[in-house]
Amino acid sequence: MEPAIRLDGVTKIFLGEHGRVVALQGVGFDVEENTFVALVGPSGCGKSTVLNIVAGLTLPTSGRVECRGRPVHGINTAVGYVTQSSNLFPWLTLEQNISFPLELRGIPKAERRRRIDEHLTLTGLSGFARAYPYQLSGGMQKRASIVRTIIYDPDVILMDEPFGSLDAQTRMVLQHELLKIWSRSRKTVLFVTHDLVEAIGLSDRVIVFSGRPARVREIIDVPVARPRDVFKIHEQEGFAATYDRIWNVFHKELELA
Amino acid sequence: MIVKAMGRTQLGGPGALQRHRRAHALTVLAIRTAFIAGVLILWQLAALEFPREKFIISSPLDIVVRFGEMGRSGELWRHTKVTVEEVAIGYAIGSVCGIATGFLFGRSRMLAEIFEPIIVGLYGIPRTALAPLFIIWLGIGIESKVGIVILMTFFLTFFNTYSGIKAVDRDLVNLARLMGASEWVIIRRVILPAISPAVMLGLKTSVPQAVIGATVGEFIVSTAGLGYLIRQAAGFFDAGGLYVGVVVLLALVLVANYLLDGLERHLLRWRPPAEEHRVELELTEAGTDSSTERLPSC
Repeated sequence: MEPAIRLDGVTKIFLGEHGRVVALQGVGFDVEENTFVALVGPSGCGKSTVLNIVAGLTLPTSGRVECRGRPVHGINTAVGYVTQSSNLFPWLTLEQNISFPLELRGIPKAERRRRIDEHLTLTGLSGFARAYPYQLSGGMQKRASIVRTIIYDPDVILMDEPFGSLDAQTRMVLQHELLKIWSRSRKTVLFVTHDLVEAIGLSDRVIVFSGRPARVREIIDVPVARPRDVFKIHEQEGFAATYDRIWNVFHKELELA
Repeated sequence: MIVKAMGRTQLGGPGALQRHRRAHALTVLAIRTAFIAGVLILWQLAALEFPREKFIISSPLDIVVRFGEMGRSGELWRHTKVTVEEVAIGYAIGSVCGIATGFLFGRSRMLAEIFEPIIVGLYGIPRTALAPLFIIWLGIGIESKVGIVILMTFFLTFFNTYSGIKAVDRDLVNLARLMGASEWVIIRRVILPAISPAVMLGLKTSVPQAVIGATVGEFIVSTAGLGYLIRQAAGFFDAGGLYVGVVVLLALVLVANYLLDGLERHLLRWRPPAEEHRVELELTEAGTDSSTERLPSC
């Protein structure tokens, strides 16, 4: 079976005012269907660039990118993208925001209504359906932005440090909710983070990137059983050993960076 | 922890906050009314004190009397109608052209690179200085004034729309694209709402400019309009009549602003009310406003 995402020898060079910047150097990895894969690496190493390349927003300088067996050449509508900031449309209410992708994909009104109600209830946002984004707290905006992506059921979901801007408690609550939602559908997720605990708590596999120019340092399986409890992830079997394995690779990159 | 106070109409949350806001608005209105009344009373007293200067400074009561006379004779409405027509036609054409040009420049970098310096250069010309030119081209009737109003309106709506479209958040456009939006849907449902605050700003700031344009055109040469009325009154040392013209012009601008404010409140209801918000936070943090709803922190 084709992997959901395949990168092969992907190099990305940006031409800036200070000359060439090599962001990615021969990056290659597969993301299997229905797995949750985390991408960790020192900050500024080019993790977001990988997501942009998979989404077709940035073209690689060289190398191949495939999404479900099809090469990515331009905007890749097979992916849903949860960006670092919530990026809700400020002129749409919460409900209109999550309805927007459904309308774009021609989903009939009754079905839209059903899915919206289901997801609002699931995330505890029902009372705020008619609120505009500025009226929501940061955590609620983040929930809404995740719901907006999950609701239209894209083949692959890309997430770029979605919880980076939140406080520690909100972050754990949202990790917990994300796992809850994810376990219902088990969509393919590629999740960028620089938080090793978050990576282990959520994913089946962790790809460790080197400092710039980014290369794949190591790919490490996470043998922690599901369902997981993100609040007590430290106590779960396999956590400590996995953390050590990743840290051994990761800390060298930090010293280099 | 991120906690936001919610005391806005849409989400309910009445109580102390809204009472506070209403009381504040009433105080402002009362003091403002008192100020205006004070100025009018002083003016009236000055006119009584210096009767010989009255033909220069007129007085509020004289203005009211003149207003009545000119209103009854139908003279005032005839002139007002002409000016309103000039402003309305010119403003409509000028703002549509300005918004359309700003939009095209924002969408086509090539077009913008070629023509932007030319437009900026033209903008540097004091526009009222071009008014006589319009009279030569378009005659002394309503057409020349409409032309001047178009010119006055075009630049402000153009610059605001253009800067608005340049500032559109690329992330939002890209996200809509990934969700499967066509170019047309992106224009209609992402770009247009995103630039609406800037377009509104251009529309609002060009109203007084449009009225200035029409009046200046009428000053130069015309047979009707409030500018014509004001110049005639000045010629006859009819200070009361002159002020009537000025007051009606002022009223026209105020009415137009009022209508645009209403439109703005409706179109931009999704924007945070910046100042009110600050008041809210002060209140809630001081703990004086227990009835304000709060979102659960998450």
